[in-house]
Amino acid sequence: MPEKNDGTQINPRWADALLSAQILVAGAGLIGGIRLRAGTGPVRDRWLEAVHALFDAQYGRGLPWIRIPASSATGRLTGGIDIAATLAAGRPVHENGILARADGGFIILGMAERLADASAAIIGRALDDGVATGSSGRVQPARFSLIALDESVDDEEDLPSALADRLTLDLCLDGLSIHDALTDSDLARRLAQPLPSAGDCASAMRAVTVPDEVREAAAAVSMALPGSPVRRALDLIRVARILAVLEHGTDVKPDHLATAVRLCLGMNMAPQSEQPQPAETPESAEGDDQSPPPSEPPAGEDQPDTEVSQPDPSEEDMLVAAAQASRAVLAELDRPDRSMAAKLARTGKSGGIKTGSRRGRPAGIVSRPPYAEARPDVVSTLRAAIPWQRLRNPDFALRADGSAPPLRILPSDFRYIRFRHRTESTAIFAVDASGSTAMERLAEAKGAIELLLGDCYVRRDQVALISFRGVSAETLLEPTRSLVRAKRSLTGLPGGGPTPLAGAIRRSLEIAGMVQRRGQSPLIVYLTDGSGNIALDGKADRVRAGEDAQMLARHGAALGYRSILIDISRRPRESTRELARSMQAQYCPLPIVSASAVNAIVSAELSKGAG
Amino acid sequence: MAKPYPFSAIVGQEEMKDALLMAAVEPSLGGVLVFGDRGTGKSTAVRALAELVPELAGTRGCRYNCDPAHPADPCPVCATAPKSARIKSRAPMVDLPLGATEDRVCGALDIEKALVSGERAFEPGLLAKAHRGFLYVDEVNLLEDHLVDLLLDVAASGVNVVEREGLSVRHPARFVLVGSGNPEEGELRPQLLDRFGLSVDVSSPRDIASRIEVLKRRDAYEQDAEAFHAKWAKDEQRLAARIVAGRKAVGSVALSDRLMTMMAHLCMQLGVDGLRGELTLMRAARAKAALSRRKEATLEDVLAVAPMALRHRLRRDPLDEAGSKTRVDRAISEVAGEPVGHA
Repeated sequence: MPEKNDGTQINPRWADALLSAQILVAGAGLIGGIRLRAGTGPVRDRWLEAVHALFDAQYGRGLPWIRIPASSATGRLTGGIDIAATLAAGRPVHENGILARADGGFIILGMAERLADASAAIIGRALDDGVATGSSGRVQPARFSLIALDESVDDEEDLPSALADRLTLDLCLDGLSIHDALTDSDLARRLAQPLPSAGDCASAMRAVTVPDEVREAAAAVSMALPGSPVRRALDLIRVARILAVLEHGTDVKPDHLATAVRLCLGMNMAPQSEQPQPAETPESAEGDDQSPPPSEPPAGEDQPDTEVSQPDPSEEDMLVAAAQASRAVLAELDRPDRSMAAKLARTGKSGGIKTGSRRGRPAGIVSRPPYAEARPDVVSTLRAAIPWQRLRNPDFALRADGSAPPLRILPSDFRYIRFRHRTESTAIFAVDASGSTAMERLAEAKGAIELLLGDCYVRRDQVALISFRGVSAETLLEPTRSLVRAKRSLTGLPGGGPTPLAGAIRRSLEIAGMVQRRGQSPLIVYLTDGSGNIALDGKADRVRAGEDAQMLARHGAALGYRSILIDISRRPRESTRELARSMQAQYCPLPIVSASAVNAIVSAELSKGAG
Repeated sequence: MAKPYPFSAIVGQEEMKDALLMAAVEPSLGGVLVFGDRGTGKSTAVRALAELVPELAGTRGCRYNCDPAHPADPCPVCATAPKSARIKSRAPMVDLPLGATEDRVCGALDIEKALVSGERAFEPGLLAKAHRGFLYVDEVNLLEDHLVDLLLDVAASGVNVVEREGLSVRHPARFVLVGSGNPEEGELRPQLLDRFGLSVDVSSPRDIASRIEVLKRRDAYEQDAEAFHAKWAKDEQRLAARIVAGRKAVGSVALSDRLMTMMAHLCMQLGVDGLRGELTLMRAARAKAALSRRKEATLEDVLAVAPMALRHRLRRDPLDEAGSKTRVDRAISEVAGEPVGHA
């Protein structure tokens, strides 16, 4: 067992983190990379240092170790013509992209959850093929490993799935203390041990045999995961092979797979229990014959209903159970109301507010590129350059033969066309599911959503649904354009109970904020009778509930979100109208709710456009 | 770059494989749309397909992938120096990345050349590169609409026309368009859906046995790609021969009037707008027959291709719960008078 000099045990999670680092370095070029869930801080820095040190020890110094921000333009990633250098030299000067420069090394991608999906697609393709194709068509080798620093704090943002799919390892450092990482005094000693078969892990991996039952177990684990991805099963076997190589083994044992499951599915994230626990350690060299019992996944500890507390490595049931306790599933159990985003892969739309559009109508000339890949507009560039020619060519007037000297154009002359097009809208439905007419209302709201989605292709609109009843509002449908997804999540909605109107307004404003951060314009549609009776803190207090609702309504108006309040009570009341006024919403009494009427109101408002 | 995973070694996914082979045999089908989960072998299949089609004759240095017999007008290599060295190369397999700009796709004024040497030159784009090969668009449902429009236009006409920045260029761009995506992340507009020839749905294998088979083969390929290719070489050759034979034969496959009538009935029953459904059905049935080395298309051919040729052309009814595949199958059994399933 690994022990520090003072005799205390190393936190098994930190041991896992170091094992991941060893796998990452040993399998450089064979496994895509790692998703590192951690906030900035000394623990993460320490881990990155450890990977760097291992990498240097293995392959010698000087190999690429490039850190890039998530906002890197796709052109910078793949490379192309360096315009400034080209103009200075008078001949095309090619510049290698980041991916090609990282060949043979590591790319550390900061704030990976903010990566645009186009960049994610390019990096993912390079991870698949090992080459990067520049914008001028040059193909260059780009075999690198990726460390994606995922700093997302909640489900609002997620790694683009084009990238997340290709990252083999998943490590979470949140919750590890500095003490665990920094007081680990023999880290250096352990790093000094050379990894087995330095530089040629691939051939060693080839020599390792994989027994059929391990393969079956890997397949079973992947079946149990949400979406049952085949790729994950391949990842597991690959990592299990590397683990076997690290231990100088000749075949993959079930406990290798158990460790692989832990490292690939991000299961080292649950807080540790008090009693010291035997953990799989990176000390394969010293722990070969006294090989530790295959540790159960730590995540399983607080899951009494899964059977992981009985470690029996040969049982594939155990692995299935372990997988079921994996991060995604845990998250789902813990937070039923927020699991939607975790469950469904996103496509990385979290690019912040869009400043430039690539299409639409030309709306003026600007001197800075409106978006990363913008190309200069030739005519306006020339127009900007011409007045300076006399200054730049002192012999402009002196040419006797009347021939014009070549134009001198500097990068500062470049002009770009700015485009403007109508932004996409997202209609957020907040539906009152309380009381006796709940089912009917919900059914009509569902109908309205499906009708809207049915014809939203052209307008490129999205729809979200919040239902509120009991003590809280629940997001039933994250903003989506997909009818398939909407249908799936709209089946079987419960109704009845009191009315937490204030909570619903708050949730709607949250989603509206999220929508706006994605560069779309939100439209909130409330379907309610306006008589909230649950306050924000969940207490049944009609007066407080009314005040809370009014306050949030004014808050929403101050934020400037467009909203519609559809009053569905049989007899519209002044208080509801008052609420609509506070939120500066369009007020539509609709005593008999029907899907087509709601659809008509919302469509009219959406097609008014947000500019 | 390593040789891609062999096509014949792909486990299951028969419908997708069939559709891709048909598109390779009959390029006028109008492309294939593959919708389904991630990691189900979509990209693998498309990349593997390019290995199966026979090598193309070309000219060294040509950036338009010209057929030496019919060089493109704007191609500086083939048009001006027709005696350049001939080379043979694999059919191009071009990946259209999500972030690609219109300039990059259809080609544009070579800005660097224009600014540095004042020369007005055309820089061919991805469409020229894909000429006589395949153009693969992963996540086609996330691509900007105007780009999808452009792709489908060129795929249908076989010619890329660029009229911009003082350039006027036409060059041939005949390719098989393959789009893929996950419908949960967004859908394609019906107008665009309709313009794809075939549409198939794929999903991860649900039974453990075929999953293990996938793992075994993939693992073997990763550990020793060459040995794996050697093992599958015979199957690959057989399949390649089928494609070559199919390409030759597809033009002469007979289709009886009775079958034509049946196709028309089927399309009417399903309320498919326009004639594109029938045309695709006809071409696909011919391609299917040609692939099986038959001189005449049979009822089985039509029944096998009908779901993939029609599934995406149905009028959408947001309140209809039944999946489109069920609706096609239902209509087929009504028209053909017998229950069907994919062969």
